[in-house]
Amino acid sequence: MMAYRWNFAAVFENWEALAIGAAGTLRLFVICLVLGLSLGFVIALLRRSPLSPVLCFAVGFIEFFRNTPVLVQILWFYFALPMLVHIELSPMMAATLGISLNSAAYSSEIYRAGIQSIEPGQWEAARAIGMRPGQIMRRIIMPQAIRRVLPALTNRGIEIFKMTTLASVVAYVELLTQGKLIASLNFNPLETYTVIGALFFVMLYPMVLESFRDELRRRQQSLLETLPHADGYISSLREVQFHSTVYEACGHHLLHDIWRRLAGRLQLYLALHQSAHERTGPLRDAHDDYVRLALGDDLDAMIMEIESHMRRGVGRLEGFLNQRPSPL
Amino acid sequence: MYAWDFSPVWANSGLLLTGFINTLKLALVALVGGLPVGLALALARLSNSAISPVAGGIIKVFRTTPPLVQLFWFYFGLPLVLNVEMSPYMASVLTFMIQSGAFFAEIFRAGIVSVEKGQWEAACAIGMTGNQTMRRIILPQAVKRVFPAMMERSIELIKTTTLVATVSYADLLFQTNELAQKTFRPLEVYTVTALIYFVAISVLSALGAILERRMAASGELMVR
Repeated sequence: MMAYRWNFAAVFENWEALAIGAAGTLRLFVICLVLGLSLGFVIALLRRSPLSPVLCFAVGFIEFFRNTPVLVQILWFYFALPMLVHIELSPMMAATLGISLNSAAYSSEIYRAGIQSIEPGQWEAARAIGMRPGQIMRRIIMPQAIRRVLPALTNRGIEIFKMTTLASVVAYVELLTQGKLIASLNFNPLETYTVIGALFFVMLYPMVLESFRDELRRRQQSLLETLPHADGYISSLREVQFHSTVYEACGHHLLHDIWRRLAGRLQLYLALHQSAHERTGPLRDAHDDYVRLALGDDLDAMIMEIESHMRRGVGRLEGFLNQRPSPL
Repeated sequence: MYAWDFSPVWANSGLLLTGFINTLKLALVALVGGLPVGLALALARLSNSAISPVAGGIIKVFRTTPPLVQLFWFYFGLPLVLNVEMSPYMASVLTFMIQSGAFFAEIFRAGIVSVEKGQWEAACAIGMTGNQTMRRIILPQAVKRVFPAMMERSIELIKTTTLVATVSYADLLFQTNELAQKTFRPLEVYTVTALIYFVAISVLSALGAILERRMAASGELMVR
């Protein structure tokens, strides 16, 4: 067997074609990102509607676009829809429709989770000071909900970026389409597709890393704020929230969940702890029993463990954040 | 007004059925192959040896590059390196095995890490070796815990298999393209195909949800 001789020269000689492709990829990405994420928010609002036809539409939309492959959607818009409405759809339009609607269905579920995660007490409080539902949503719920789901939305954005390659199937001019062209002209598919893959990796990986670092910085800030107060319970809570975010940012949803549940239990503990602290006697004992039930057996040991863990974590985190970002 | 006519689709339903069976076959083979690949990558990633960064690199690359680029690389590029003929089926199976393996690896890893450290220590105390502990104690629990995430990923895999139509493997989408060209009825053909995917994937999701609920009832499962 003869070893294959790699030759990237022909690929780089066609850098202009690649640049045109990259511009096409970026354009499609931005359009689909904006359309998909904003339409997703609208669908999430419709999903909360009390009117059953609206609700049915939203649920049907979400279910349909989540349970069919994107490629089928794009091809349906490209080949099938023009039969129905007598409009010629450009490859760009078909790809935009398919990817945006698909992303809208996925992101609407993300928004919904974010909106649901805001305590109902905030709605009640806002209503009590005379705000209308629209105002409450816009000024109170939305800003908090979006901040909470930002990591999940970033993940969606990365997915959208990867999905843009599907537009090559309907011959929209993007990176992969240009790659196909170069490969067929120069008979060098190996080098061309390697370069295309590397280009996607180089464009996407910093995005993955940056969103992760961003979230970490924010959490580090809130950790550092609580440390000097040396309030074991509050900082333990922050620690747990910190971990939950880190794991979510990494895509470790399982670990994220464990920590989130732990945070819930710690919150329960804090509430019980504060309300029972002034009391003595049997009520106090009952309180401690509750806490034991809520948190597991050895409470103090656990809190101490979390605290020391946190101090170590801050040190490591600083090291990590001070590293220079590199794609590899 | 467009006059819908599904009769050409029914007349050729055998074609779509073949495609659907091929889609399921491919997804199943990629899944069965992807699980051991994922487990191997996860164990390599968690090990303290020199292969850990290599496994990390493979996972990263296959998770952050578009699957269609990977497929083209395996179909058009790899045969040149290995100097072999690559059938569309081979390329598709290979791509999706490794690609879903990379995703499974992260899921396995999360599951393994989620088992309390005390269990390792306990197993060590009664004289088990590291391998034994992993095989007999940690993995059985980890696999049960990550079941919902696995299910979700497998359904994602079925949706991704549509890409193989681009390297002309005769899956459902490829057969649909053929049929649409043959009958000049793209609207009906693509609509039927979309519905087939929708029903199949919805049924699988529902099945997954039932299994999940059953496992959750027996208390062996963590939430997603």
